[in-house]
Amino acid sequence: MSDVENFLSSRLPIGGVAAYSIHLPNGVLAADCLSKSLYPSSAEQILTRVVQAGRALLSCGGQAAHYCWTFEVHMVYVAVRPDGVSLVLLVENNRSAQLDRVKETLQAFLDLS
Amino acid sequence: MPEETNKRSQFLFVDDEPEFLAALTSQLKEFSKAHWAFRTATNHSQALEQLKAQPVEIIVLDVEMPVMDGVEFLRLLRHTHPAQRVVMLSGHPDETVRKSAIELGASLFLQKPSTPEGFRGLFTALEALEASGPQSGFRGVMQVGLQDVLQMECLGRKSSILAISTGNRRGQIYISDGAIIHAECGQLQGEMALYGLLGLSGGEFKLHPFAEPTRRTISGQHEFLLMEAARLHDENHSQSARPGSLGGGEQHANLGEASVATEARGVRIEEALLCSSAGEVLYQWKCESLEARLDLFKKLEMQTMEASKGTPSGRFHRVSMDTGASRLLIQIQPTFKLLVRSALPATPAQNNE
Repeated sequence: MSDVENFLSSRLPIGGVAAYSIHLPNGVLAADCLSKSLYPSSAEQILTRVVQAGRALLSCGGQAAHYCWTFEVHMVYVAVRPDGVSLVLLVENNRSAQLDRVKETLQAFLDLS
Repeated sequence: MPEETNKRSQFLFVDDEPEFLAALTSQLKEFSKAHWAFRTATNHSQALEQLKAQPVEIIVLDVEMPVMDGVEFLRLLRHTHPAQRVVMLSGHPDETVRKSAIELGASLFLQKPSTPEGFRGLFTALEALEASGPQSGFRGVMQVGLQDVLQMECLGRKSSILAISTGNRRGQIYISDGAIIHAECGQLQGEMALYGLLGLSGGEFKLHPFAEPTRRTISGQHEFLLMEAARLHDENHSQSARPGSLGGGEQHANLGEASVATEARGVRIEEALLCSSAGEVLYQWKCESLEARLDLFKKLEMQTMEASKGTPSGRFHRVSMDTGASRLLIQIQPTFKLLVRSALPATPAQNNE
């Protein structure tokens, strides 16, 4: 999985990305909180629970998929690969967020598989 | 043209009849006991040159002039000299012209004098206007976004109705004590209407005194609503520029070009469900299992509430899932719940697979 971590470290930081995590089908591979205005435990909580909610309620049936969960202050972007590995980005819901770069990164993550 | 620029108050008279200008300046010079300075111009280009050379307190403008009449010149002045005080004179006062002139910001609309009493009356009116000084506050011309106007109204905790028109589209945004409480545009109401209006690329707006709308449909903080509108607008533009891309999976409240673009890209709605906040089905189309969908709404609400509990992420608004071939959007608002499933057109890459 080092390729996934290397991939991400080469692309971060991205404006507006406050935290990220990489999820395997059976656990979390890596997670980091990049924003000082957010508790790492809060970031990890929302990322993990959103991924779980997606798996439980909105299954993509083994296909690659993008999810975007919009909350008042944050958006959670999730890219799920057919092998079940997910990249999750917690993005601030404001104009400074570089959404184009976020989407490029998610797409590049899917293309890695 | 005579120049008297060292006196206290400067006036510029614009009329295509030199004889009238001569009579006017002569009479007013006498009435003002030479305390006023007058400049004259017989058409709009001369007048603009005069203004370029030196500003004046008041312009007195004849309505009936060839090439560019007084009302059109006033319209031009509103762009070039927005704070300029202008008095209109007309030999044939007409209510429609008077209304246009006043709407364009003319300070007075008077009958063109032809007798000594008439000139005296004009002098009295100009004297009163000149004594009142320039209006308080600032007036200017600036290209602004609707978001800027809304932000100013909200930050100032004002109550007003922002009426927007562009081409054949009209809408209204209601602001009460600095909060956006309602928006409507055609058949749309609430946040969808607000985002649609804020996504328009250009048009005109007017601020009207506040009146209570028939119902209040928006409850979020104005900062969030404006940010959301800006984000949808940005995403809409980036998606329009890249047809067929996955694009992060957001649905937009477009009223204009983008919705046409979506149809052109071949998006096909396959399922739709609209419920009240209590779960009452208001509209459904091709839902195979209403019970399962209502259950999905309920579980999604619970799980997202759990996910954001104790975090600063705030209230959940919506989720979209995009597989490249299909897209599912679920939006949960205080007043409604919406699910839309659509099939996306195959991208060139998918066609090649």
